[in-house]
Amino acid sequence: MDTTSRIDCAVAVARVAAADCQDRWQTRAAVAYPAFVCLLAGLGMWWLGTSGFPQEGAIVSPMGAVAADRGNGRMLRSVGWPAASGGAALMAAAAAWWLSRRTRPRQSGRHEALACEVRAAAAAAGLSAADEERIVRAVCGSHAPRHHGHGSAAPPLAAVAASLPDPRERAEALRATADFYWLLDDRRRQRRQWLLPACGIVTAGFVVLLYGIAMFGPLADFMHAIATRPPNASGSAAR
Amino acid sequence: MMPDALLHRHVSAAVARHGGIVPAIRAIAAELAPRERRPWVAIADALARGDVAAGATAAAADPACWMPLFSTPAGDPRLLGRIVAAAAGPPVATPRGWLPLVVPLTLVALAFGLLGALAFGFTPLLEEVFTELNMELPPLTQRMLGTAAFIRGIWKPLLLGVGLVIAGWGLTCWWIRRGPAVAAAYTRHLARLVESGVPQDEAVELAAWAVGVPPVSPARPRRPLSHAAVAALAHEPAVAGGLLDAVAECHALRVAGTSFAAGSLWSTLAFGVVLLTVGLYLIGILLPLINLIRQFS
Repeated sequence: MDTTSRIDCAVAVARVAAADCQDRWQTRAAVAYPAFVCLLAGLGMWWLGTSGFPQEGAIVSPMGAVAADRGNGRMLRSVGWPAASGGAALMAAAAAWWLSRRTRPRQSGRHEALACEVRAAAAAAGLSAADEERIVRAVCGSHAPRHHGHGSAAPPLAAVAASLPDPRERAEALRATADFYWLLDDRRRQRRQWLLPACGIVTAGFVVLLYGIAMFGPLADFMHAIATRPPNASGSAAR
Repeated sequence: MMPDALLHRHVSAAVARHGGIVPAIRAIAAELAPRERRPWVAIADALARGDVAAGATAAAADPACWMPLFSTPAGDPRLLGRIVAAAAGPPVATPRGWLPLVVPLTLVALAFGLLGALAFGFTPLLEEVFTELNMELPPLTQRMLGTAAFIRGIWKPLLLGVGLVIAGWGLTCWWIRRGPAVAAAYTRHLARLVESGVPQDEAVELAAWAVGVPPVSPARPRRPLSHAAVAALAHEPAVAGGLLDAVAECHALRVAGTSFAAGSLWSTLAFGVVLLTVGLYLIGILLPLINLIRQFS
């Protein structure tokens, strides 16, 4: 292979590495905010459970037995189910992310694009089909599409481009094919760039909502007890 | 609307010139998502059968997909690259244009959900208690109770929401049809057509038809035909093609900048508004409760 072809291959490899790196950073940036919110929510619940949060009985006792009975202790008990639900939501999100990585590792398109770029460089250098295959294996390693360009498992467009007999036409078609896969990969990355933060916000919002329900639920019961208390249950403290 | 005679002439020429590209177009269709395959399958079928009428029907439905075939001479090795760009490149009136709005819309939806839950579940109890205790409420709390009553009368906020959605939709359509994305696509189509030797008036008409806007006369340029594009048209076809490509690139760069800026701006604005609204609401609730607890203790 001549120097130009080698540079083409190196640029394609670097582009794949840069895209992989950008994917990782996008995921980390999207996860950081909900993880921080969930951490704070978890710390808050732990503090409520262990540090003797202002005893509701002390607050509600002046309102009479009914209010004290309805409100006392509910706040601490009610933080349990939102914590469990929030944890379950986070685990489900993590499992979905892990599954998506396990089941769709090759759908990014960038490895197909890399293989096409390398094959195009080899075709432009006038190498034989066997040498093209060897170089694709050498450059792409474990990411090389199986039977790329020759077998039934090859991506259809790459197979059409690789089947052209004239090396110059083949190189041109393979470059166009690589562009196609890069464009598909760009689309997916653009979708991830906007959708991942939204998913993170929804997860964090869900956790905060559960936390809010845990805090406001007993407060609402307490208020209801105050509003519906017997007339002689309290003094005129509020006035 | 494209004149039938002109459309049939260009489709006929494309069918005669590009029969050999059918396997590649079928392969591209197979690689795309199912909802994006239809125009490419229709093109491949029309080319394979040599059916000009079917081709004209397909071209009328999806004009942008046919532009590479109209603007590339027979045997030009760049045809596949142009088809690939049309198939997988960013669309003009983009279905993904809503993506930058995902984060702000999510924020607003969450805030409305939270306010709705508070207005329906918690605030009536508070009002009951405040009335029972004859409490003197701070102005912020009074405003909050008024807002909660407005949310509970569900038709008014619903009508307001529907009105906002319709207004936003209309604004988005207006912006998309006159925005730089359309100008970029239009100028790129124009570059290819002019470069391939299509007469200028036909090229202007075909390019406008491909992006779904009324034809614009070079004598009175307005979007999507910019003054720079008109100046480029005064040159020889090969030079004009290069210049028009540069003009299209400028429009495309503006698209990238505006899309990112719009997304960030709307996210920041939505975050600020949501934080302010929910914060004021919560403070409005908590102020009298703090007073109440202080009085009890």
